[in-house]
Amino acid sequence: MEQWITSIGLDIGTSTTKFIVSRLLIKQTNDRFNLPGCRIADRKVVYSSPIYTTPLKNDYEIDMESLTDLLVHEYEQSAIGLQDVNAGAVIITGETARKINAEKIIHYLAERAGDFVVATAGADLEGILAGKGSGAMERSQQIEGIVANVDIGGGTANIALFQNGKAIQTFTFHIGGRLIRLNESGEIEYVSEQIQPWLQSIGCQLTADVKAGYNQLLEICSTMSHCLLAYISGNPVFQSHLLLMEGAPEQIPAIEEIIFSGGVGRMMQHESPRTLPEVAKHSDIGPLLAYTLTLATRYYPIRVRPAIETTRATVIGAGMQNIEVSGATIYANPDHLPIKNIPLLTIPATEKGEWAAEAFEHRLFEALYHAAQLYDMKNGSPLALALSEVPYCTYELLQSLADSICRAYSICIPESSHIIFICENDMAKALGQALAKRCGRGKIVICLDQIDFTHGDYIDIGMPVSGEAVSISIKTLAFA
Amino acid sequence: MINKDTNEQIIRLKQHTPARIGVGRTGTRPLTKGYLSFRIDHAAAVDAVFGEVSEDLLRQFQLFTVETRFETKEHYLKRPDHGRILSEKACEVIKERCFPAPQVQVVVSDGLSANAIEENLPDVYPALMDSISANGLQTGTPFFVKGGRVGCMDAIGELLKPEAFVLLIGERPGLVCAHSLSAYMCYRPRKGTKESDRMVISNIHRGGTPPVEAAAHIGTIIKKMLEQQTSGVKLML
Repeated sequence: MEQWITSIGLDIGTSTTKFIVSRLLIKQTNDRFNLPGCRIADRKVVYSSPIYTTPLKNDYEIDMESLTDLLVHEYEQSAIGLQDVNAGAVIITGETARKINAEKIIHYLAERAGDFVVATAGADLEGILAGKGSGAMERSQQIEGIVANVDIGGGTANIALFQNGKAIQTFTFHIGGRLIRLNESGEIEYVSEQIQPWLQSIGCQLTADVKAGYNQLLEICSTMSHCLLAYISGNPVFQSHLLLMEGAPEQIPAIEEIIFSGGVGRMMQHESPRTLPEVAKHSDIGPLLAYTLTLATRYYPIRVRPAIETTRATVIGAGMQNIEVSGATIYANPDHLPIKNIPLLTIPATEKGEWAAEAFEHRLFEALYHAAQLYDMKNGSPLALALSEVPYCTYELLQSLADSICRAYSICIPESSHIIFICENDMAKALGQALAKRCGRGKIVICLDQIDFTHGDYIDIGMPVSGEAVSISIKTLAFA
Repeated sequence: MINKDTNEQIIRLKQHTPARIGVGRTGTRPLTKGYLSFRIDHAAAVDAVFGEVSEDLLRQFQLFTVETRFETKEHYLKRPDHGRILSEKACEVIKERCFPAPQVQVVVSDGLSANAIEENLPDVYPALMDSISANGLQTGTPFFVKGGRVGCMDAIGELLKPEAFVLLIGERPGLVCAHSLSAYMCYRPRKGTKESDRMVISNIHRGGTPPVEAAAHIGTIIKKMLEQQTSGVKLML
């Protein structure tokens, strides 16, 4: 039993916009002696758009009309209809991820991009998707060590570290091609506010309307490149913390290989710019930054591996890799699906490997009260809880879990219409049955398993794709 | 000479299988440690076959016991066919104590591993009962068959005429795991039922198919059997 589904990807970035259509092959792995299972056996891109300049009204706001025209044209070109689209993701990145744009885009997509297309934003997810599209995630399964994907575009460098096919860390630098813009004679047109403190810390005065020389720009780009690479290799230099966005990890594990993607990543394969006109080919420092990065990599003990995709890494990651399938023994009634934009809270079942019903119930109460404050539960909008650190599930443990959950729901959020649980271990159907038995009356119980929920804080649950298994995507919505 | 404790490839390969690979040797013989663990696992397998399911466990789940014509464990191993026929006394007891023509008949048997029942019944059995009732189905009177083979469900089917049948039976033990359980399922098992009409979820134990999830799924399969009035290769899952 196998089935192809169609998924689209749309990446609306600070400088460029791309669109792809991909096909995912869902295969059942049921051998009739085991519990059924299914997996995504193949992913391929069947259409990819040219790279467009993101249509902007001004420096920050998207021109929705032009974007609409662009999408209509691309749907026509790719010869797919809205009804054919089973899944997909739109990722809004960089400056364009501002709230005003994001809301418009989501509203627009709800009507025109297909029912199952999700919108996401946020630098950490963007970094992970780029790493999936560039091949970094797959590579980390082939080698023993950690693979870093560095996705450098116009405004930011999003770094995601992968180990054994899983994202383990993400962080972001204010390093990108369009942070400094200039013309062919070296006149500076724009310097991003984000990098001014750092520029001053390295003793560099650079503002719009001054003229910069090739050597000065080379030095800035070179220092930037070393900031990035030295930080990744665990020995920060040149005030690199001034370029780092909040939330970067204190400790970086030893990295074996590095893959560069994004627009600047692609330019690293190009010839090095020797003169100012060559640097200012796109009216920014992108080509020079790419060149200095290539030079800088030689000083660090990390192997550089070419990316499968550079500029299109994020859009391919969004379109092809954002969709996963749940386990095939789950508890969900298709009549209640799909459900989109469900906030996802993680709660550990055990503490230091020890199961204690009281402690679990306590954590559950806290999480639910917290959720009731954060999200508007009154109008019955659902909430999903992800169970982490679940030990071997005996019947006794299952009963205890279900008792605690039902008690907590009826006390903390009695108005909630859904009880949704997500876990990694294969136990969703059993948990769902146990919950439905206790509190299924008047409530919709949904339990899904075999889902890695480590990165993301919202989940979309799609329709069944093969047997009982449903398509899901875990995402972040930074602007929500 | 490759060192099994430091060679990365050997270490990685060993992570993928519980089989005895990269166990080391001294001269032409296995290391004492490896040899002893082999003997221990072999002994566990023998114990599983010759072991008995405790009365306490059966009482806990209110299962009464009947026997096949297996006579002794030695005879049971030589004559699998005798494990498929019920003793005369068993027929009487079953007819007397069991609810006739139930929707779902659940039977537990030691088969080739009493340990499988000891280890997994406390998780599988109650979860299975929940799963059957969650699907809106009724069970008859469950019981325990000592010295049973998979085919004993046909003999019981003749006596009780159930719609659907679930047999939880201990699997032939191996050197990796001696307490693995199988759940065999069949729509209207009767004398002459073909093997292709039976279905199984195998390898149920702590390190294999998760017991509670397997039990939860059996209810779904039984429901489909009753809807489609068939089982085995003809059943659309």
